[in-house]
Amino acid sequence: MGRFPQGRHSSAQFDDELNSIHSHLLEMGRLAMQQVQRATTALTTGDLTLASRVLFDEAQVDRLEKIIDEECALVLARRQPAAGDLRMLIAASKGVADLERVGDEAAKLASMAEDNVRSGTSVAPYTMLHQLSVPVLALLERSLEALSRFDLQLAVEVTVDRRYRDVLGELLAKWPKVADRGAMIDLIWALRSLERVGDHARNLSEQAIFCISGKDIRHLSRDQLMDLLPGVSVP
Amino acid sequence: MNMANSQPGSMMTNTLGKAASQQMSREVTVSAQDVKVYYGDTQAIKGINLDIYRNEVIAFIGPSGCGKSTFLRVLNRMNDTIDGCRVEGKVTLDGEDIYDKSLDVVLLRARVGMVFQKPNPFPKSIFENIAYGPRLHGLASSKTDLEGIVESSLKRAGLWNEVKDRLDQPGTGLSGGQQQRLCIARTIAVSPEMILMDEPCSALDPIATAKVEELISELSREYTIAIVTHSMQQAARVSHRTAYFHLGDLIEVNATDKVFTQPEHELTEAYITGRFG
Ligand SMILES: Nc1ncnc2c1ncn2[C@@H]1O[C@H](COP(=O)(O)OP(=O)(O)OP(=O)(O)O)[C@@H](O)[C@H]1O
Ligand SMILES: [Mg+2]
Repeated sequence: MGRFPQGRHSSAQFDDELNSIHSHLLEMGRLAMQQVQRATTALTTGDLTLASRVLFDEAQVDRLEKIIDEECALVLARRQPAAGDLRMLIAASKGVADLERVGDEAAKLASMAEDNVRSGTSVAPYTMLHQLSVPVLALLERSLEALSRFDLQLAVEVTVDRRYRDVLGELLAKWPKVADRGAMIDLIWALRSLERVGDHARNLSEQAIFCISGKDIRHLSRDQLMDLLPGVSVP
Repeated sequence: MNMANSQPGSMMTNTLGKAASQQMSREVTVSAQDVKVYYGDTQAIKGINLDIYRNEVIAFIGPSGCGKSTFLRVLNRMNDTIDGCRVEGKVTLDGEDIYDKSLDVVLLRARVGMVFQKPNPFPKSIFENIAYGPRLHGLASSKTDLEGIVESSLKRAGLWNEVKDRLDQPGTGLSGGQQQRLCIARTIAVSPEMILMDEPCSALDPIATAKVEELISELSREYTIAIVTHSMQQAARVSHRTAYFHLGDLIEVNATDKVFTQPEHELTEAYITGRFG
């Protein structure tokens, strides 16, 4: 397959095992992303079918999480991986945890959508969620893309991209008058959920960077980042 | 990829290895400068430079035939015993040229002891296996003295409790793992500075291997150790630094935790991750 930058192992089966982890991770990522997308739509349109679909598919995200964890454990026990292979497994195990939480946030949003429909809450104030879900989902997509292609430059761009946070700040600054206090609190919760999805997307890219370069960039300033990753342009 | 281990961003620093390397002083025991080795017309080692530090365990890894054993034998002139083998360059032990004509090779091999792949006890008693060296080098002034050396060597090799009641029995009657520890005891009985080990565990089962590995880390407090191994896991477990050899060249030498998580050279990465031929 030759998907990994380092080329093939002498053991083709080892290659298959790593490829399987990699594609399961991407599958889980795409599914989690779709979940967020659907849950947001369910909230902003009051589409009950979509909301229950999200809650139903949560089991699938969890199933992939288990599969990937098992696969990682098996490769660790069987192959004693080193270097890039070892980093890929560590990145996958951590990435899985982030994606699982993305799935959880989607489920929270979907339950909220169901509750709103049942209690007859208006969807009107929720339309503002789109302003945040668009940049957040774009970030998650780019993060998955970086992971898929082992693209260091793209992964770095994702980790430093905090635009969705600015958007959230703006939304909170010009906060609308919502008569219903319960609905207002829910709306804030929903925004926070999306914000967290953005944070998980960035974590995922940090793992991609570790996998590709061996560098741990967590909690570094922009300058430190540039020192650590020469040849990568940090926006 | 040229980051030292102390810098931010190098994850997964093996804490054990780190503690050990902090204890390790940076005093050079052996220094090899532009070492070349030929067997007749064929060159087996192509100009290697390497300093080995006191109390470190350095592992030599690399594909079969890359020159690990040849280079190891350079360090105590074991290659002298091979017909047609020629060594060029300079090798010093504590600053002293070991290829100097006036140097006593027998003494050198006591100072730089060697443990082989296949345990090779003398066909003598356990006691005699250990006592031979100290007697030869006049290290014991009395019988009690000699007995003391035998006991302490066996203790340091972790074998004393298993053999103390049968010191007069043949060393060849021990299990493979015990024989290997006997050979290690024999090596340390002459108070070496350095111990060379050429695949010391390749004939041992996992439990005997674990005992020898445990011993290696204990011995590194007193001695400098260079070990050749085909087991990546063994190199990762026992050594502070790992040197990767390839076709007679030394490709990379770095802290072991770095070599196994972020090797600098792609040949090293290909080898340790099993992406070779
Ligand atoms: N006694 C000898 N006479 C001639 N050539 C030799 C001799 N010993 C080793 N060589 C050659 O020198 C090169 C290095 O051999 P060496 O035994 O040092 O490799 P090695 O890395 O220890 O391999 P292995 O992992 O198989 O033990 C090889 O090409 C080998 O064929
Ligand atoms: Mg050899």
